[in-house]
Amino acid sequence: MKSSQRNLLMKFDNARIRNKVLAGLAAVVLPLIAVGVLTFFASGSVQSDFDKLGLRDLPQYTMTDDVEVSTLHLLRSFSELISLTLANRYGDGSAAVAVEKARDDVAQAKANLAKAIDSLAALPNSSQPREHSIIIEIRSGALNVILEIDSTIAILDSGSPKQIFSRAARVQQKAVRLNTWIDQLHAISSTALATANTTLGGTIGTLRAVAVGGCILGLFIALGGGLLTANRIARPIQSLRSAAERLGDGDFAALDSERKTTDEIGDLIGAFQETARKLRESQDKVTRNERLSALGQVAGSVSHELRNPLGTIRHSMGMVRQMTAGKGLGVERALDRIDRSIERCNAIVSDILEFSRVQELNREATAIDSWLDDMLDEHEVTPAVTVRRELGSGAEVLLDCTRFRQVLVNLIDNAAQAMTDPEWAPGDERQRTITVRTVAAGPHVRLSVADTGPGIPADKLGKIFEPLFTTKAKGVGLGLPTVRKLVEQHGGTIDVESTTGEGTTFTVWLPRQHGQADLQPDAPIAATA
Amino acid sequence: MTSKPVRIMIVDDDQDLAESLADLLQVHGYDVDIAKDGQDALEHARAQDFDITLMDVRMPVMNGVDSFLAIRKIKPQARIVMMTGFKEPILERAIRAGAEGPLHKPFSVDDLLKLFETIH
Repeated sequence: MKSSQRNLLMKFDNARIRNKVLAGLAAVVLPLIAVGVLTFFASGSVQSDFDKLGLRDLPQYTMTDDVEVSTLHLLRSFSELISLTLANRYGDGSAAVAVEKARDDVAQAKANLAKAIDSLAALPNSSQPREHSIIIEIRSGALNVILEIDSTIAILDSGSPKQIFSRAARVQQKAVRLNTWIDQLHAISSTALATANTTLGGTIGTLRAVAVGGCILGLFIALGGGLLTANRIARPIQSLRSAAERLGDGDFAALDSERKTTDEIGDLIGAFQETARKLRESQDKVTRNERLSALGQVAGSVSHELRNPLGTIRHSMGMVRQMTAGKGLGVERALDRIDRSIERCNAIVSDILEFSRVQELNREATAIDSWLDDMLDEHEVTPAVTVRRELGSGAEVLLDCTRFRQVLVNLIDNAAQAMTDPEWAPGDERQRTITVRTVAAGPHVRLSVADTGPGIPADKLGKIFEPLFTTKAKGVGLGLPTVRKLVEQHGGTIDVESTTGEGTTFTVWLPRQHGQADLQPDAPIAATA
Repeated sequence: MTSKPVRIMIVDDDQDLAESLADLLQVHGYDVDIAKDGQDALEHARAQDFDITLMDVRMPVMNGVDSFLAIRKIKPQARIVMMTGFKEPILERAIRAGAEGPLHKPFSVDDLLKLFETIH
């Protein structure tokens, strides 16, 4: 039931992201589609406007038409003038008035043609060279007609009828030639118009197809891309969400397998992983503290309760020893064993008490090198082991010398015990050596205790600071946890490196006392083991 | 050596411990009495004199420190050795007020006899 609710919730979230992405894309795509639709209809209206456009709407057509009409009119009034003139010459002379009128008509017709030619001259130059040259021919043709008419009129009164008709025939020729040019121009214009119409139709068709296709394609791309993008955003978020829920259930490794991308989602995953890491650390610390606290509460009463019976055993044994002394009963060795065992029990109780003790440190500024020198002088180590000193930090740290002594004693005794373990012998003639070294490291002092012993197996290395974990045959497993507790109480950290067969190095990082002059910038900060 | 044996009072609520210590001291020639808590020790001290008192700290009815202070009021010369199995903070009060020791349980008979020599 719970799981199906979760799925529903995720789908709901996914739908919300999808809708947001689609809305964003729609805001871009819809105006584009509107532009497409407008283009479609506008191109349709351009086509129909063009369809209505005829040859007679072209300026070169109407103007050449004027030339043609004016020429015809001129020819008609010209032939009228010839026939009236000849009739008057060979008749009774009564047609003189009509001849004068015919002359005026011809003059008027000439003026009209000249005007039409001027209009043609005012036409802008055509983009088509052929059309342009034909227009020039039309203009010169019409001028030729006028010139031939003028030269005919010049001999009209004196010339013989034969001369006159001969000139008139030349006028006719020029007129026919002019007409041919005009027809050619009309044919070219008509073809050009038809070609233009076809081309425009094709272009508009392409434009409309692009507009329609673009709209449909845009819609599909927006929809598909939107869903894809929404999915790409939503999937890692969903994955992260379920990982976060697993984290909430206590699975600290839930986020480790999340793939980290280079985008904001990747940053988010990184932030979550960092949070999980801190959470795990703090959870570990809480667990450790809870264990310590429980142990501490028990330890006080247990140690008290144990030390009384230990005292009883010891006193009773002392009495037995006193009463049997010198009687040759052979119990002395047994009594010695009891005594040693009491000591061991007492040492364990002391370890537990020391570990669980909550006590304020009494720290004072201490030159750590000389303090270590004195401490190592006092502390006895088995002669089988050489202790080397490389004390070069020159630094002061705030130490509770009594408590911090335990740190060193513990680390050195552990190392000595490991190297004198009867089940282990150095592979070569290496000496059994413990090296105690101090180095200044920026705001810290690095204090290391290195041995040349058997080393700690990798699978145990991570656990050695856990309470009650021990690799020794004898020991309750509180030595290193106490060391770590004391180091942390001093504001430091401790870590360990070990190679099987080569040895183990414990490194303690302690903060230097403020006011030290030679701070180095390259201060490595140790990770807590 | 015609003098009277040294009189010792052991104050401890742990009966086995008190008796084993008493046996051991008797073997070594001491005259030993046992009180089961601080209040009992105070009553013993009112009734008779002891050369040395071995006083536990954690006890029911009256703890060792209060008992020490109370005995000191009626017997200012009494020599009282504190015994403990644990570093009790309240023990400091008794030591500052002149208590001997402390002896840390489980102490050996040698430690005990050495201490007796220094104070008696």
